[in-house]
Amino acid sequence: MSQFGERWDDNSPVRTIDMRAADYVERRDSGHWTDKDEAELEAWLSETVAHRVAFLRLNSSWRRTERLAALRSPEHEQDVPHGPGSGRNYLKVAAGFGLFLALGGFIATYFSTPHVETYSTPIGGREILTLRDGSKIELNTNTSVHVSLNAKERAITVEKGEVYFQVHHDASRPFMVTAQGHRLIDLGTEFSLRIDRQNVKVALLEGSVRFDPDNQIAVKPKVLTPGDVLLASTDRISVKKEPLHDVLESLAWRQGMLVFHNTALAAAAAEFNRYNQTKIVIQDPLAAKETINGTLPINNLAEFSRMAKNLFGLRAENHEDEILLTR
Amino acid sequence: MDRKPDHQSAVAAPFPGAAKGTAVSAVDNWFEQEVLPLEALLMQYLERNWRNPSDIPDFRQDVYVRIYEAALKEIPEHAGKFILTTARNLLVDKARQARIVPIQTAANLDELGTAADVPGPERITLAREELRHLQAALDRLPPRAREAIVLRRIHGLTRAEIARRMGINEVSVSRYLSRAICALADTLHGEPSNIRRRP
Repeated sequence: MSQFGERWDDNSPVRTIDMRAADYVERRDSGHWTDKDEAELEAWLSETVAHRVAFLRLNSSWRRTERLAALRSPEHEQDVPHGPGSGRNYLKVAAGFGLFLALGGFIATYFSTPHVETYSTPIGGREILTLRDGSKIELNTNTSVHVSLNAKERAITVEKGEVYFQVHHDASRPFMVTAQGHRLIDLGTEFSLRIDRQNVKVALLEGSVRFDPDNQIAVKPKVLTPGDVLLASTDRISVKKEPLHDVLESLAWRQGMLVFHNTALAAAAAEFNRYNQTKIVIQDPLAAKETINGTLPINNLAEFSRMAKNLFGLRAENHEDEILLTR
Repeated sequence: MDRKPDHQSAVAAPFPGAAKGTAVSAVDNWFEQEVLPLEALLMQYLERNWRNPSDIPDFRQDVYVRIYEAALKEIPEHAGKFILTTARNLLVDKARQARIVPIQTAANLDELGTAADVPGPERITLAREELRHLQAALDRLPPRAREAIVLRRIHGLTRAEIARRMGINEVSVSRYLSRAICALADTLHGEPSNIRRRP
């Protein structure tokens, strides 16, 4: 394959075409693209097939680099200003949260009276909150939590959705998470918690955590260790050990991705639908049962449709708030 | 939510000659979905059968032009085989023009048939590997081009913002971006992507 170094020193016709095509590709996707630009591009593409194939080729790889956004880490976010076109979802409460942080610093180390703050994300949203104690909680799509920190304890209630916790351990102030009546008490840990209807799923990555089930379930508290995945319904609890690798994959949403392993297409669509207002509906019962492997960007509906088309020959019908995939 | 305009069927601009044959957007789709994913195969064939590596990018382009033009009349059934046949014909023409006797370009087309026996259209990419792939491609870029594309693609900055951050003008930014886009395309199309499906 041609290496980068040897490509740029000459001005051969092919390089010239590629450079121009790349310029169109990038500008077209920049949010500053006018009808006049589109007309100019169309004229250029119509001049010769060489222009068109160069454009198609670069445009196709440009779309694949969309995944690079998954490399974006929270640390990077902080030192890079966001352009107007960056399209990130910020919590409405984010500004208030900053103020909250600042006030917290001024007034005292701890509030003496309980003080509850609520944070939520919309469908497709994802936010990281750093609490005053240094703990981080990362909210996935369509999630709502109440946070109450005081001198004696740190209490989080997960109302709905999915949260990833990185708890700053403090033996004098237990970190407690409540969901659907179940309670988790941190013993210094990283874990995720997801509510799906009445069911709660907890997956432990690091450290340990004690799980106190809802009073209605006559089960003793359980101490979870890394790799443990606990499922609690209204009347029963099960714990199984999974390879950490699998647990990490279930957290791919933190990088804006979903990972599927032998997942039925219907289940994959349901997972995908958590993140998007526009819902995917698989209308072909046979294809719905077919399993897939792979990874998809969380909010890329077009990619999902394309995958369904390539794998199962399904046709996408775009409606206002749903995409029907049919044979 | 982050909703970018959908650029699936790249462009539907009218194209001379399109009226008689296949619709342009269908050819565009076919080209993107069937031909581009086989670029690694094409590059491998060209590199094996042509001595001068600096000719290869031009030849790739020529092959694509021939393929696209043929598809405007009728979309070939087997993309892989068609790509290799076109590449072979091109090399034969080039060899003739250069007045050299090509030894390897006379390769038996049956052998090409086996080489063309590549995975069908059932592909979904394994993003972990694809990301690694992308990251490797980024690492191969010269530092300034890498910086520009990282700011653009990972951090979503505009050209003006990138120019400010890098302390250069916008024309330079666009040159860096264009180079990076071309180089990433070479890496992404030129190497087989990781693709699988379990029954």
